[in-house]
Amino acid sequence: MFYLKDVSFAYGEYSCLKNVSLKIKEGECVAIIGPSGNGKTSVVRTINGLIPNYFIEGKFKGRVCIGDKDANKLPMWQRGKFVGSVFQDPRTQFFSDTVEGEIAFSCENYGLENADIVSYTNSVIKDLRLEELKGKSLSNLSSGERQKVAIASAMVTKPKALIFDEPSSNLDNEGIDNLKELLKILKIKGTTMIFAEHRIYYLMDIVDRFLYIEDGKIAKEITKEEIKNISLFKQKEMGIRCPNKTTIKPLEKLSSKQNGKTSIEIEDLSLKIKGKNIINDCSLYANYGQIIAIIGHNGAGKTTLAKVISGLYKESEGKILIDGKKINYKRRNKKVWYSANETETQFFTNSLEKEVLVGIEKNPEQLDKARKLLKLFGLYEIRNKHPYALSGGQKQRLSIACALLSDRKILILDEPSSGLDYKNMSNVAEAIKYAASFGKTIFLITHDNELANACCTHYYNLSEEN
Amino acid sequence: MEMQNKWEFSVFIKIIILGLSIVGTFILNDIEYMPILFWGLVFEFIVQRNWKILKIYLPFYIILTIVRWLSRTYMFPIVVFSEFYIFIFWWLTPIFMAMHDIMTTSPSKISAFLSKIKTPKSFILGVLVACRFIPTVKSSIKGVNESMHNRELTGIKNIFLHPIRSYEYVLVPILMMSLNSADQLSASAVVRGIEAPFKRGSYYGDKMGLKDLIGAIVIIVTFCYMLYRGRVKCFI
Repeated sequence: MFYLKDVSFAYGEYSCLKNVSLKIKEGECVAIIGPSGNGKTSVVRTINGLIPNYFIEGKFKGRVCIGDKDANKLPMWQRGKFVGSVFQDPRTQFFSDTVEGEIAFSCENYGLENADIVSYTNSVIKDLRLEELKGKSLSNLSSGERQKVAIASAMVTKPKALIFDEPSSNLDNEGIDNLKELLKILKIKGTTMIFAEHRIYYLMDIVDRFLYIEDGKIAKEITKEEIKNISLFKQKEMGIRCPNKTTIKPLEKLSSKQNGKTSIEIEDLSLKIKGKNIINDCSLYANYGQIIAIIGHNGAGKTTLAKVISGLYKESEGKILIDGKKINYKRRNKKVWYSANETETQFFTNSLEKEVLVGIEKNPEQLDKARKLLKLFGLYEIRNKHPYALSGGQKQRLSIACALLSDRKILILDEPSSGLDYKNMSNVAEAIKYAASFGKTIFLITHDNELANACCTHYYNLSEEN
Repeated sequence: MEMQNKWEFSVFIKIIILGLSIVGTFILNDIEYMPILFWGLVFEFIVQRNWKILKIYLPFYIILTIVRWLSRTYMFPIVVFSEFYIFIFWWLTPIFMAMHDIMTTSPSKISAFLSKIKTPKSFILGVLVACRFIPTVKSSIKGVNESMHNRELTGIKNIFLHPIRSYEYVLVPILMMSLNSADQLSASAVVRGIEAPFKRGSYYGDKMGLKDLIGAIVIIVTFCYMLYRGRVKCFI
């Protein structure tokens, strides 16, 4: 169905793809795997036509065929009828505010009559079993539900193939399980599916073969059996995530007071926003040097709890003691560092070196400390780069370096591994362990069991405790 | 979870309500008859089951009316605001209400209405993107504010001593996020057939029903009655 022949794509000096050739048959499901920044997304963009038709500033070479047609001779709107696309974060692809309105968007663009649009939309809603979402506002949906709507909106014009660019990166474990069920339905219907993914465990029953991409080239084709039996050493070497569903290793559950020096005590904490209980009687105690995974399903209140601890929200009831002292919520940011999941809003300057020194006194001693930290986190060589030009893993490490230099005692990191490959995830885990070795208490809000297993000492399940 | 409101008026009726509210407000000679328009609009929002707008504007208008009456009847001194501001807000409340109703209408319904009146596709897309951008920028500002709080950059001392730097701290991440969002939205639109050379269809169709007829009759009757009692201003 798809045929790529010697496809190359480069932005200036940087080559994203180098002579990539591949064939995908109708009804086949293929996953493109490999380390970040090696060309996975570029391959799927070549198939859906964004390369070279949308990213026009790059240099494209090669041939892409859909069936027997030269795909690059088709206008993008015609190509969209063959290939539906689902992006990493559904929120960035939505135009409407309602489920039906969003699903119908493509049909509206193709100028169908109102009756046909309604019929196509209802048909895809029925096929994907999304009836319970009908009539709802998109802003009220969970991440998993939004991803389902994104898939339905890509399916509505009945394309022959679907392309997924890291569809699981914003989902919790339950969301991934639901996504897997939906993909099974699509597979049974014979839909051709192409994935660019780090997490592969949920694709094991879906995908027919894996293509490993390295340095812009398809280095090898791997069968499902080979992936299933891959050694941990090989998995690390290839930079791919675990092919089996990882459960959190038996960490110590955190709730009651333990021996050792307590850094933070949270007692019967509750938070109400607009009359709605977001956090109910939450209690936890943590010591210095501990790395605590805060787990729980999407919407359990993990990020809200972090914002209360860091003083962004004022608790409705209960108390928070840091070093045994109650601190006004407005001043809690002097003791607690909160690194949000969205790295785009976190950086304010035009170089890494300036970034780690924001908000702290600038003197030769601090500058020396900052440079040492950047070296330790592998960021020194690129210290003059703009923070927005960094990869996801580098941004997370920069955020942890900023936290360490700020000298706060408690660090809260919100989903630091979302969208990271194995190598970057390991680097972030090492940076977290390094920060804890300074006696910091670290709270890690995560759905990523691999990350939790790689660095956490304790866990706290907010879904159970809240 | 929020369900779609089946009592909501079509965009066409909402525009008529806004238009007549603006015209009525500015051509009414005796503004003491303005409450007729306000209560007419209250009735419209009751028909639409739009309790959110009523919750905001009803207490606001009643308080303004009481304060205005006290200050005029008993020369009650208004310390914080001047009477002029009280009057302006009291006088313009019907326009704010009608405007609020349109601003909170689903972008899908607005695009359906624009398609129906044969608006060019590029304009409809502009409207859709603009509608998407308001929540995006709002969430970016919230995120930047939280990050600045985390970095201890929100203190009054910081903002007053380094206003340009503080401004830059807010502006740079918001611009970066907006550019990123615009890029992703455009890519999403392109792969979903936005460039197809056809007249844009619509899921909602913006169909009119009995509720819309009631809405139109109520606003026209209210408008005419208000002008009958309060007379039209003579502009010449």
